[in-house]
Order: sequence, then structure tokens, then C-alpha cells
Amino acid sequence: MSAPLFEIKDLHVEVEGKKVLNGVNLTVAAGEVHAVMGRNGTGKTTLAYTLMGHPRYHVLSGKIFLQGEEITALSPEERARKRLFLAFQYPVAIPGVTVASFLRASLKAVRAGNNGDLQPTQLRAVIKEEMKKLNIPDAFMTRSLNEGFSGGEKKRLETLQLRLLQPKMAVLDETDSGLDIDALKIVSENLQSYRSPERGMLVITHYQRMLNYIKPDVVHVFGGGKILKTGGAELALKLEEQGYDWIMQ
Amino acid sequence: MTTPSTGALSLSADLAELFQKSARLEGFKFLGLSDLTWGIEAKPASTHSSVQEPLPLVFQNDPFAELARQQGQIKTVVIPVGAEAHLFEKGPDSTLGLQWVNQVWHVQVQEKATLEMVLFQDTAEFAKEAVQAFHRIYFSLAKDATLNLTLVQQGSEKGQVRCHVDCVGEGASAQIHGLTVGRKSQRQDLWVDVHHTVPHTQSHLTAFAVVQDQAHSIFNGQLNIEPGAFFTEAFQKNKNLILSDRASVDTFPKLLIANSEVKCGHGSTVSSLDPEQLMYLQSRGIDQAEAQQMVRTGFMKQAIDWIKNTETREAVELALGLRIEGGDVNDF
Ligand SMILES: Nc1ncnc2c1ncn2[C@@H]1O[C@H](COP(=O)(O)OP(=O)(O)OP(=O)(O)O)[C@@H](O)[C@H]1O
Ligand SMILES: [Mg+2]
Repeated sequence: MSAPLFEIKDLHVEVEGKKVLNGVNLTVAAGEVHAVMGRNGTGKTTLAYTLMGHPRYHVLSGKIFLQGEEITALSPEERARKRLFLAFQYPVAIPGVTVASFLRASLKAVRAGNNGDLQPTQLRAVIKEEMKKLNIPDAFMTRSLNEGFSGGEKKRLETLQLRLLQPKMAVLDETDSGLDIDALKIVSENLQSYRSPERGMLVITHYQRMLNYIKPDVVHVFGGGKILKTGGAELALKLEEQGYDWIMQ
Repeated sequence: MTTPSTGALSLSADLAELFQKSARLEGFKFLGLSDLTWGIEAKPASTHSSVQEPLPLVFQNDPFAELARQQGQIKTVVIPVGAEAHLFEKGPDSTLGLQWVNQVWHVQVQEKATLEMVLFQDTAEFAKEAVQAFHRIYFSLAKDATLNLTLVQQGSEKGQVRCHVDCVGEGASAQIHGLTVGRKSQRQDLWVDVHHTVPHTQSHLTAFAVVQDQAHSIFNGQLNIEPGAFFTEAFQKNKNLILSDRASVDTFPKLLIANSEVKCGHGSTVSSLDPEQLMYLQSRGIDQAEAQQMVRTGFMKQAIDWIKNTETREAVELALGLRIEGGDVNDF
């Protein structure tokens, strides 16, 4: 039997001297979408950053596997090149670096540089096509990356990057927050159509709304730095109705 | 404006012609020159005129050249009523083997005239390490005159740019950007002094400095708002990016306000490379060294992006290493 697409084994993580993750176990099979829900400050973003290799988050013990290969000690760029992707809860502004030059550098590093499936000359056409699907105006390309972008604009740009970089495994940290009703629909549809039998997603969210478009196979409830409960899509609906108290008891 | 007086050495007509050619004075009228002085005047309504490294040629075959180099040069520029001009001074020329450069500029922007000027003190390509460069530049802005000024410095062991802007006519406005790039043990300072003497004038100054190795940079900004200068809008910001433990900056943004009907602001920031910015870029497959380079480049571009003249902006970007010849990283 081949290894699962993505696996987290007993992950313990500390940040700034504070223990935040206390033994996370999670397995995403190819083709699956998992949702992670949980109260503020329970460690969801910490998990997302750790999976992507943020240097501030120290893995005390535990392992992360992508397609059976351990990636726990890899740099963020190495993970990206192995086609792991994180859509940030708070995308970072980089003044003076245009969206266009950033996307080009990123695409070159992840796709053209790696698997050779995208020639530099094709980049422009591919970027334009995906921008259109997400309703991102051309004018964005010459603006500084995420600088002065509205919350929703940032999330659309994160989605654009996901679609361009074509990860095998994508972690989405509150990609639905900050989006207006129409934008939520557009972003969700673009994420939903990205689903495929070979790809997996871990969707961190507080609300059911995006899960209406992207129906999860599995829903996890996060609390105290670990998974407290796991269920099917109906679990998210129950949480929306009843909150978290019943799980905590 | 009269022809500058002839000094100790008089120049032949040949030399004067040579000067005009070398200066590429498209759109400018030549006012004359003497040993250490030249003057030009923009032709009315001319656009995108340029002056590039004009002086060195003048002294090339001159027996007193060495003396002249050491004493420096004075340049006078007049942008007459209603004219629109672009001036780009980059230098001095690295082929001359200078060690000591001193230049003084007097620039008059007359009523309703517009000047975009880029002064680039660049000695980065010099064979000699120990170049010292000093630029003084004085502007006077008449009624409704507009100045878009970019001051850039890199390369000198000791480099100084001192800029003084007088807003003497109502409606005058100045937008000023500065960029100091410090490497090795270079010590560079940028002084910008803006005087608002009449009502309804504006100035916006943003100075950037990026230092690495043991470089040191100093920003000295001063906004002077005189008692009668009501409804002045004047802002200054100084942003510093420090790339090594041994590099350092000093920043002195000063504000002298002598009336209460003004909108003013000033501030400085000093920071090193932000790990969150690097993480973001690296999470997109960009390796650490390239990510650092991108953040640094982006920081510098904030000062340069304001240059409207494409040819000049590209030349500056090229000299600063922000652009690869034949291809813009930002082309889309
Ligand atoms: N860089 C950091 N420095 C200090 N504390 C941190 C850091 N990152 C996370 N923490 C702490 O770890 C805990 C978990 O934070 P995290 O951001 O992972 O929560 P979250 O579940 O994503 O919350 P939210 O739903 O509000 O996004 C919080 O108490 C937070 O203050
Ligand atoms: Mg979070």
C-alpha cells in the first residue's frame, strides 16, 4: 500500500518559549479535504506555520510526511518545491516588490525550476488566465505585494498563488475571512475546482460558509493544541449550531 | 541670467562646443562656461531634456585639470516660466580617476515651471576605493513651480549630498526622495533642508537608506516653516534598512514650525530584514538568499519608482543593481 498524501504524527511545537501544539495526529489521503475548526488561540495557525517550516516555530517532537517523505526538517522553500502550500491567515506586505515580479520568482522556483512543466515564456499567459478567474484586475500586478491590499484582496491573491503553484497538498488558514459574499463564492469555487483525486487540502476555518462550497470529507475540532474530535461534514454544521462547549466537556 | 564670468583660464570655442556635445543638452540653451562654472537654461516648454556628466570632458586636456578637479564645479540651471524639464546628473565619470569630487548646483525653477531632477552621486564603479564626493544643491521654487527630486548616493568612502529647497512662491511644491546605499566602511550623509517662507506651499520628503557591512549613514532632515508661511503642508520620513550587525545609521528628522496653520509630520524607522517577510517569500519556493535580495531591492525601489522619466529610472536601477540589463524583473 502506498503512503498517504500527507501525515502529521504526534506533533509537539513550541513558539517563543510557549508550548502550543500538544500531540497533533492527522492523515490526509489523496483526494481528501479536511477542515480544522476551533476556538481562537488554540494553535491552528501554529500548526499551519509549523507544517510550512516557519523558523519561529520549533518542533519538539513528532514528524511531518508529504507523500511518504519526511519533511519535518526541511526549509520552507524546500517544502514549497515539493508542492506543499500555505495560504496565510495574514499575508505579509513587501513594499517595492511588485505582485508580478513576486509571482514570477515564485513560479520559476516552484514550477519552471523544478519539474520543467512551465516555460518562463508561458508564465505571463498562465498568470493572466488565473487572475481572470479570480476577478483580480491587471492593475494589481504592478502594485507592491500585499501593501495596502484590503483583507479580501489579500485572500484572493493567496488563492491565485495556490492555483498557480499547483500544490499537491494545500493548507488554507482562514482563506474565507475578510471576503465579501461574492468574493467568498468566487474564491471557494476556485478552490473547489482545484480539488482532484491526487490533491489534498487542510482548510482551517471558523465558519460553515466556505464548507458549503468545498464539502469536507473530514472535520476536526482543535483545542488545546491538539485534535479533540473528528467527524464528517455534519460535525461542522453541528458546531455552527451549538458552538464548542459540548466538545470541551 | 548672464554668462558666468571667465575665470583664470579661458576656454576656446572648440572646447565650449565639445562641452555642449558631451553634455547632451537637448532642450537646453547653453549659457556659457568658465573654468569652474557653467550655466544652462531650459528652452521654454521643452520636455525631458537631459544633462549627463557634462563637465569632465571640459577639463580633459587641460593643464589645470587636476586643480579644477580638486576645487570642484558650480553649475547653474534655470527652468524658465512655464517650462517643463528633466535633468539627470550621474557621476562623476569613473574613467577620470578622480578621488575628490565637489559639485555645487544652483537651480532656479521659475513660475509654473516643472522640473524633474535626479542627482545620482555614484562612485561605485571607480577603480579607486577611497573616493570622496560632495554635492551641494540649492533650489528656489517660484510661484506654482513644481519639483520632483530624487537624490541617490552610492559608492563613496565619504559621500555627502546637501540639498536646500526654498519654496519662495505661493503654490510651490516639492516632492523629494532620497536613497543612500552604504557598503563596506563607507560613510554617507544626506541633508535635506526645506524652507517654507510664503503661504500655500508643499513639500514631501521620503529618504531611504540601506546599509550593509560596516557602512554608516546619516540622515539630517529639516523642515522650516516661517511665521508667514500659513497653510503649509510639509512631511518628512526617513526609513532605514540595516543588513548587518556592524552597519549603523543616525537619523535626525527636524521640524521647526513658526505658525499654527500648518499640516506637518515627521518620523523615522530603523529595521533589519523582517523574518516574516522572508518566511512569506520562502514559503513560495524562493530560497533565502533570493528572498533577502528581493526585500532589499523592494526597499530601494520605493525611492526610485517615483522617477517619471523611464530612461533615467532604468539607468538608475541598472546602476543600483535593481535591474538586469535587457529585462526588467517587473515587466509584465
Ligand atoms: N510568534 C508567537 N509569539 C508568541 N506567541 C505566539 C506566537 N504564535 C502563536 N502564539 C500563541 O500561541 C497560541 C496559538 O496561536 P495561534 O495563532 O496558533 O491560534 P489560532 O488557533 O490560529 O487562533 P485564531 O483562530 O485566532 O486564528 C496563542 O496563545 C498565541 O498567542
Ligand atoms: Mg489563526
